Amino acid sequence: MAHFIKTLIKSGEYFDSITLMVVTKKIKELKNILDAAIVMGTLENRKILKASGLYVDEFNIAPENDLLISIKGENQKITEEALIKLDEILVDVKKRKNSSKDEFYFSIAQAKKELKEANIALISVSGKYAALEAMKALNIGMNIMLFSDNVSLAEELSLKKYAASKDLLVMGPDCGTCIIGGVPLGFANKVSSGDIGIVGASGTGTQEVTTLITNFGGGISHAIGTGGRDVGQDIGGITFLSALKLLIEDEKTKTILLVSKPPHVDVLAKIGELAKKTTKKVIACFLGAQKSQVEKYNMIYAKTLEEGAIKALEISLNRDSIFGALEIPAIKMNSKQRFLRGLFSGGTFAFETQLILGGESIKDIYSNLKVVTSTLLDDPHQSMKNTIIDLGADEFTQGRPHPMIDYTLRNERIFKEAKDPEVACLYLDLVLGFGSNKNPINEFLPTLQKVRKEIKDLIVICTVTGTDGDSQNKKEIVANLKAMDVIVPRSNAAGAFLCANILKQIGRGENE
Amino acid sequence: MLKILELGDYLIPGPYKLHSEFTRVVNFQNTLNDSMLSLVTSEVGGGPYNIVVESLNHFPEEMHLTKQYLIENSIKLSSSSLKSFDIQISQEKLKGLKTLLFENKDKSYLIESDNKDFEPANFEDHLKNRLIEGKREIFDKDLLEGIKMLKGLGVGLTPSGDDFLIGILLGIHLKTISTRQTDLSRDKILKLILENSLGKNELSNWFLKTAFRGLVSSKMKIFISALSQGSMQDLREAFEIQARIGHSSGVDQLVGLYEVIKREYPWPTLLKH
Repeated sequence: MAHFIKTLIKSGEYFDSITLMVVTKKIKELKNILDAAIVMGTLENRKILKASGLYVDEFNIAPENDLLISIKGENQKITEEALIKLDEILVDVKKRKNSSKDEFYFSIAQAKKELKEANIALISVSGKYAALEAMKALNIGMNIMLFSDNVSLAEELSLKKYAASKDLLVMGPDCGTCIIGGVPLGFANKVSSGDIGIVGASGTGTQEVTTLITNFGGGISHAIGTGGRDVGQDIGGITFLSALKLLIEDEKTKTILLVSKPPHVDVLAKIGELAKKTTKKVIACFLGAQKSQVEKYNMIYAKTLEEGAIKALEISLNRDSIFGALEIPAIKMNSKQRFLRGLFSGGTFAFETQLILGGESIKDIYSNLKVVTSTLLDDPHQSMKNTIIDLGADEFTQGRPHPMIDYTLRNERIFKEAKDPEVACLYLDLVLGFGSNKNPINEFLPTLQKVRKEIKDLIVICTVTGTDGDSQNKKEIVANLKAMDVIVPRSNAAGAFLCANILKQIGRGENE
Repeated sequence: MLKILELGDYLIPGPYKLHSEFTRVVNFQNTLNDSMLSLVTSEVGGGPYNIVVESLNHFPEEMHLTKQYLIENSIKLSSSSLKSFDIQISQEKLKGLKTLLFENKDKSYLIESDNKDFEPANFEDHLKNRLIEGKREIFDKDLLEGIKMLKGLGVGLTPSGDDFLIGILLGIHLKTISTRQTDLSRDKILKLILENSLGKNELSNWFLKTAFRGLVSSKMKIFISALSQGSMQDLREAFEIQARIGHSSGVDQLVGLYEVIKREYPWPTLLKH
């Protein structure tokens, strides 16, 4: 039988035997793979590689302590792909210090075969392969959380229609946050379990409401993400509507909170019709939507994410809100300091902040996000007057990790904006939880310390989105921020209103 | 700051640098000689050259272990030497060990199955054949040729062949202690096996040298206690703990140990040396 051999040599890398045996076994289970071996290059191991036809001349130069990897397959492409995948897994294992507790699978089908009860596949491959992988998963009966972006609208529509025909969900593409049955997927937080169900077309929006609900004594049944384009005209809200139906039918869910930018009018009508049919209370936080658009479908209107969380909590806990207003700090500025700079890692926070500033009649707002209340910046790297930047936008994330993970770019920008003599106030977010940077105390806070040390008269506001259950230690972060005279609002909306009030008090951003 | 729970009783002072890093074990190599030490979690447990720590979340890449530290700190010391053991192994226990090995034959290629003469079809088959051939060579034909066939053979940082040789070295210690044999050539035999077993794998080499000195981990010591004085249930439990070490390391060592203690000592191929 014709066969192809692909090999790899790894120098100076040690792996435990369990990892190597498990990975080898998984490769050998792949269709069209005939044999595989991962061994150290000792003389005796080389003899066995030769006897089994896995030895190649390239191995001659490898020292005995090198790891020799050899895969034999029926065709070149599959053998190459298996080798690439294997290398990726070993690199990943190395990062996690040889955690032999982890399971490795080379395909979703292989995983499904072993994890028979699994019904959700989280897909986070490059956009150009994402639709193909999602379709494979749908074909074996899996719901999908599609974390990948750069999936075309046509592919999204096709996947979602197919999924709907099989009573499955496609959460995404570009879906950052889900919490299903208490299990966080993507960027999500350690939240309490409860009876509030969420459908979210916005990742950080979902994180904001789920953490606020948890922090104020409520809990989440499920938070189902849809991807931001789902509620547009092209997709027609396929996932949003399916998710809403699921929550209506879910016994554990008593109150439903919807989080999104305003859906297309046709989609809103379908959502509204569904909401009308249920006896459960449905709160709609469609950022930027009019109250009347929501209330005509008997849904409860929430202007901000915080308001959405509060209203859900009030229903769930059957009590009135106890939130007080944030006090405006004493402002001591020089006459040049006039403007706000908002630098966000969460796109929805940047969006909501602009809506609130606009609603509070603040003028001269510029952004890299298209919002009715602001003007699009020509160059997102150069701020103008009151500028709100979403650092998670494509122009900042191409070729680098998301700013919730890697603070480098934002830290540089924070310092640059702080040094601008016209800036009176910096507004920042810090998103904690699974998927986010694990060590903001050492990687984010020092930038603010430096700002505080070098620029004295500057108001710094920073929200901390997370719960006490998150691994980053929210309490310590908040305490450190407050010790640096950084104002920590309870929510993004509270921070945005505070910014608006500060600008008004300075008397330069106010619409006169 | 590492919180130390237990110190190995044979730790060698000196400067160490990081060698290899795993979830529950971080190995360090002495920069002045070939000795090693391992930072381990309590799941791994004590050993002659282990430092048991509360957590491996943070550890240095370099460290200097001083005599003073070892003397002054009243941290619990491991007890690793077989010399302090009073070992008696009954035929019943030996049978029990054989049964346990056969029950776990899927955990080590060194345990022979009934299907002895099969045609190897892939790498795994060839590896298994070679390990069995090497084992037979050591006991039935040529000790040194068998060692040559086995050293460095297998998967992982401590391959099956090396683990089996470690088991043989420990088995010789056990056999001579348990039968109270006064064997003047024992140390010579151990040295011969060691010298021929050493390869270029620093960690395997260090484990071989540790076994050569008759030093064992806490888990192996528990197993030997059970083999000597425990009930059959104790033996089963100790076997299961040992069998969880590595993919096959723990069982591979026990196969080597069993092959020695079941035989008359010295066995024929040893007498040639």
